Amino acid sequence: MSERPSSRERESKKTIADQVQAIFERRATKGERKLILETYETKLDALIQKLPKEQQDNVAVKIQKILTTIRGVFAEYGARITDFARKVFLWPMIRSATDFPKDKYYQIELGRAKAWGEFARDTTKTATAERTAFRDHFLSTAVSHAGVGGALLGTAGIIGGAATEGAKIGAVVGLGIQGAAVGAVAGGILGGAYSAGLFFKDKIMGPPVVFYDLLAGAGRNGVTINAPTNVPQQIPMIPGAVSA
Amino acid sequence: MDDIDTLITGIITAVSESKLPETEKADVLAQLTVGMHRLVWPILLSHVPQYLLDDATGSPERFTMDDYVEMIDVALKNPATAKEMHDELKGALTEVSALLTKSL
Repeated sequence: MSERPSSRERESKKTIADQVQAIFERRATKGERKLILETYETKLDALIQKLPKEQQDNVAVKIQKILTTIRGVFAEYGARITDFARKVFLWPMIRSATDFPKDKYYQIELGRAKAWGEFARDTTKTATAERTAFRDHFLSTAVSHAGVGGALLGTAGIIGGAATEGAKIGAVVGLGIQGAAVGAVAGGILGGAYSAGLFFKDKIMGPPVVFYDLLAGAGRNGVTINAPTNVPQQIPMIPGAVSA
Repeated sequence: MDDIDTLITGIITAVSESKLPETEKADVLAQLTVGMHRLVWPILLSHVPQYLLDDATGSPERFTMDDYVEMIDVALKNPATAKEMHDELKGALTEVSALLTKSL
């Protein structure tokens, strides 16, 4: 019979990703949050996953209300956390609109969001399949940015097409769920280098505001983006990566 | 660049430039994303009035998008919510940054 490993040995066997997970999990379950999660999380998650369907115009108006609140309360804390709040709290509403363009890319992102959702609820257990799926989602980003089968994997090729066509809102909605792609579209329109690093950052933090402005303001197929004039900032690229 | 942006940028840079295998790099970034989502929801819910939570979970068949909007809007309009989210995210990202500095 093998000896029980010491806590230090167990700790050393954790990957860095495991330890990142543990950092967030500890904070997410701190104090009264643990009770709130235990009491409401599963029930509310089920409700949010199945919000009644509504027409795009109705949803756009409601998105605008939340956008106004988010802009107001997060303004003093910076742009990125504002983007993140939009990403987290508006996604269930976007998903529930009946007539936002839902092309195949939307379905891809929906699948990823579901995979993330399943995993996010189960971080204390080893949701291996979901974790692997989400990891591979990030991995595909790196690969597509490295120019290896980018078009086949979706992201890079889609971005190029969307930018070329003037980034119709259908493409934006389809791509925008994870956020990164919209930033990439904006970057593509601007013609600036769009590094894999920035792509990852957008993916983690959510789409730039232009996405939701368009979503709330226009929200129809074929509406063309008026690209912002700011140039995405640069951060170091992953070795071997190229611009989208 | 705000502090959250600075931290995220540093983390992505550290991971990207590390010698970790690509799959592990992707796993770290995925866990960062999952963790951030995981962290903000209980903070938001802790600022939703109890009666709204109970109404929602007590009558799930009547839960609408307007109810969702009300929950989000009410909680976010409490200034403590945004501050708590910011402080917790910043704290967690600072921990992650320190972990990477130590481990990579």
